Amino acid sequence: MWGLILPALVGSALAGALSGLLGVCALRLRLASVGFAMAHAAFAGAALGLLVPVPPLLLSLLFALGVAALLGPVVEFTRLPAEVVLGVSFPLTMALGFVFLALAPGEAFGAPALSLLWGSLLGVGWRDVALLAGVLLGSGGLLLLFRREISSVLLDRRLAEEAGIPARPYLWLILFLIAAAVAVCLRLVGGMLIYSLLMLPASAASQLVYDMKKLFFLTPIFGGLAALGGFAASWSLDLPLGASIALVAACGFTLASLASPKRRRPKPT
Amino acid sequence: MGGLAVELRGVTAGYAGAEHPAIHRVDLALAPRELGVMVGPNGAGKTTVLEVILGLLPYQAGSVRVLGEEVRAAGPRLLRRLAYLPQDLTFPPDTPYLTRDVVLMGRYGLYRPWRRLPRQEVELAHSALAAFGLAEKAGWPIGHLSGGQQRKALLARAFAKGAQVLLLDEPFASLDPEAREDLARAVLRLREEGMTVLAVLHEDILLSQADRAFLVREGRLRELPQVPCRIHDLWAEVLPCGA
Repeated sequence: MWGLILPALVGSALAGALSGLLGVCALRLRLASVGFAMAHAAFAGAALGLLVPVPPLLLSLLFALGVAALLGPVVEFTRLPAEVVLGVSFPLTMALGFVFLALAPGEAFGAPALSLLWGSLLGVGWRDVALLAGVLLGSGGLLLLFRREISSVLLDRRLAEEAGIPARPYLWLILFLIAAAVAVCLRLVGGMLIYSLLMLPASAASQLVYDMKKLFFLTPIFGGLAALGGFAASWSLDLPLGASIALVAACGFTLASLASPKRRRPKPT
Repeated sequence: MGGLAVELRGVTAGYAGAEHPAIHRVDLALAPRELGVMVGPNGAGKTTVLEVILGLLPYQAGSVRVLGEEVRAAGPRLLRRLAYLPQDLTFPPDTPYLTRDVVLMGRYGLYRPWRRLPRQEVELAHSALAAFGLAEKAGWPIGHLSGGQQRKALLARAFAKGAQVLLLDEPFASLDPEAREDLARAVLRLREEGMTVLAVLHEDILLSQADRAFLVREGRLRELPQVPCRIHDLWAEVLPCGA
């Protein structure tokens, strides 16, 4: 039994830490809608992977990045606000995902489809864990290496440019890392709820601290704990993993909001 | 015209997708340590002039030279010698950055990502904040400072950065009279330290200390023969000081 549980357990913790870490960037850039759209585009990509002989992970990554890459040109072409364009992309990618699943051969609309939507404990093997660990280490390493530049861009793009830091490449790096995180966590948490792991731990941590360094330190811990808590709930109550993780993360956010020092009089740190 | 801090000659620039350029054949010159003010109605192109000087907006025609370098060719290296206080930049209370870190960030562009920031840099940020009366706010979240204090912290950042040209876009907007006076003193102090200042204004404050005034209307800029004392009725008539 441990052969089945252990990779899923370690994978959950890593997925939580990874999503949490990048959630800080998504939160600061007010990228909530982009994260949401990316998650659903990644679902469509993975669904296409069941239809064509291309790895679903690669297609998830490409679809998620595609949403981010197309956003600017489509906004410019249609002259609509970005939020509206993202609102259009969400049902489009969801519909594409369901069409790909319907066209996929065999039993794709059964267990594989449900696993893509809600996440699955059973789908996680040591190979997935190694991939999650690699992406976590890579993302953490890049965020650490470019901490000053990324921190400046996350404060204000104009001020970053003024300091001589080119904002655009760093924004692209952040978007790429978020897309990679969404793609590798999809199998575990599912396309419908990966977004919750991206936003909730970062939102919870931001209720408690005022310092970017502390935020980057706390959020992966919160994400990891939410994922492990969700894993325990899923295993013991036989609930879908993605939904369990999202519920535990939402409870964490509620507790952090109630305990937040931001509700009290501000004090210097 | 050598030795100018800021020099625009026949500059035309606009935003992607716009039918007309935002500024058209603009000429502007500021010598080192001069204080220039730009006035004009909203949407006239004042912010565009600042963005062109910063190199944030490409220009289609003309020449923009800052501290002797053509902006188009210089890139981020030149930006390190400029400081900019953008329009409407306020940090909400939940902004997760400490004031000293915001000041320190002005110097991040000087270091390669893999280089460790020397300890003196943190001390420099603290002394810059102290110079602007914000020493005790160094460890505060930037969002917990008042609007005037936040802008003073950004001036401290410009000071710490060692900028030679300071661009201010409506720095006094939404500040009470006391905070305006306080901020104006901080700007004048930076000019005394050797900075060239170009400020977009909608208020009379700083006008009496300005060396040059520029009126921007419908994308065209002209230097006023005299610096006015009041902006109040500038659109109808330029009032010379003492009028």
